[in-house]
Amino acid sequence: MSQPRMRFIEGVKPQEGCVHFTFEGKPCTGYVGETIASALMRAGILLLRRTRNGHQARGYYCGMGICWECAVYIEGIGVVRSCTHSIGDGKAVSFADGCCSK
Amino acid sequence: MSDPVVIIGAGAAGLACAAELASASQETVLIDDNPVAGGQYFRQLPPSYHTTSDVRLLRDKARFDGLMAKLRVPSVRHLPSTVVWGAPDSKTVAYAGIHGSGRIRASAIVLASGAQEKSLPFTGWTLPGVISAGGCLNLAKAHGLVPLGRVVIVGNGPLVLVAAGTMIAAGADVTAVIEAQPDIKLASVALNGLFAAPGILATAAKHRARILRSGLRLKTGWMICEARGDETLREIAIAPIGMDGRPVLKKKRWMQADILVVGYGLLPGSETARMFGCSMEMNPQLNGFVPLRDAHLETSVRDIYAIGDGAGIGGVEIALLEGRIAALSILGAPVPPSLARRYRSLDRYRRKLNIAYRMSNSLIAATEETIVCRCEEITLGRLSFDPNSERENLNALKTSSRLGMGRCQGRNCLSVASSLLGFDLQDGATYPRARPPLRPVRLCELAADADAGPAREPDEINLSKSRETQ
Repeated sequence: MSQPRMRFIEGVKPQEGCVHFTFEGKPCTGYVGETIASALMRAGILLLRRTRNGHQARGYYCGMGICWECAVYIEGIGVVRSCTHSIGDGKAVSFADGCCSK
Repeated sequence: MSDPVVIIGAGAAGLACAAELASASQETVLIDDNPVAGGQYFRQLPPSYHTTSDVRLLRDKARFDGLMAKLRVPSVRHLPSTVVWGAPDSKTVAYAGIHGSGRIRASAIVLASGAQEKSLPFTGWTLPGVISAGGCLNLAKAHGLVPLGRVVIVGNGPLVLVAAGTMIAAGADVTAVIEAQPDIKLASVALNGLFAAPGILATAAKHRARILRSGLRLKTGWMICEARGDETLREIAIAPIGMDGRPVLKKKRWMQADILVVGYGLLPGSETARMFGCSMEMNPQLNGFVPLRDAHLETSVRDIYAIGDGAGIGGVEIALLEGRIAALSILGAPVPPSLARRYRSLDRYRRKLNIAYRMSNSLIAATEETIVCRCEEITLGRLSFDPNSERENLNALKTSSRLGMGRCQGRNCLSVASSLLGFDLQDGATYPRARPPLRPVRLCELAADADAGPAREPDEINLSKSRETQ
């Protein structure tokens, strides 16, 4: 697992108990109500998407739902913005544009 | 009035408007793209999170809770995670989201869609680890997160100081703050006077002191020129700003960074107003392309009002006052003189401030290989060589190059592309139209639209008029 890139601010306490999901096949955990981007960045994953043409790495950018750079695909739901979409237990999350090999 | 008032956007302006309408028991529908109300300024943690009393989040929770309490009445219906994607006519909104999709006929429509960030493309700005200033504030406010590793903050304007202050308070290792404005005093004035709420004014006023005290590098008159890294950000280059608004590359300096926060100002998010066919103007005092409004904040289209940052950048205090003024106008009630006075004075102040903050030359960090349109991966070089660039026709350039055709629908790139290519967009004549669907909508949501009917585009009327006069 990569180095964490974000941590909770001191004094912020998510509800106890984990939510499990996978990202690109790898198991990940988060908290109830936590966004997908938050859980992934805490786990050290800043690369949330690859572009269709150049397969370039992209991640959390505008943080307010405008840019769609953090888009991910959730099996059974479709493409969502990981910065506002919270984790569903047992969900399989993957790159939004269907491209995992560089 | 039997039809409800529809408010688009549940940020400071939309909430204040809804609260005022609620106190008169006016039927109101509040539609918002976010899962939780509050917009950007009042952004809150997920409801399942708890905080200790000493948590340093700077999120003005007390005022937000006060506004929300007023909305817990049967006359107000809040539709979160819902977008307004169409305007079948000037009295109807088409919406889609987690609570379903459909159309609402409104007695009045209030546009409160807020601001968006002004992009400043530079090579490497697409790397994971480069985040916008608003995105940085939301890391703390909406996610309760603080980055690990070295954080560098670059930009121009009050947002830079707010971002730096927030990150330092949250416990981040902020190693440098790079402000484009040569005079840091101006930046401090702006922060204290306008963008901070009275409740946290004391905290906000401490931002600058906190930055200075923390011993990090604070550079004024410098800007970002490049970012590098293998898949994620590793280092950035900064340089002093030359007379032409470009970085002086001879004096370029590299520094290590794990997270780069970029904030070169805000623009009004005006696409909803344009979709409804409101007459627009380019107004530097309001920081961009905004709907024309009368004293009641009504646009050129009858019963459509525009309030908050989406109608002109001004920050939370102006947004709250405009929300109340628009609500009173809709209710046909007089605006209390004290409210009108306070609004006039803040409005004058923000207009001066927006002018004062303008750089004499717009900043340019992009080179030929820099990606301008992030979604479609289009470089400045490719845009410059497009024949439609010579014609200074942004709409034609969009069609020929796919500029602005990705998921963000041009919000990130259209405005900055036109300025990088030197287009004069004063009248907005070649600005691409804001057409439905205004936001990305899933087909299943559209298919579930029980009231589906013809999707006429209201601004067609204006277009056909302007064609006739040509």
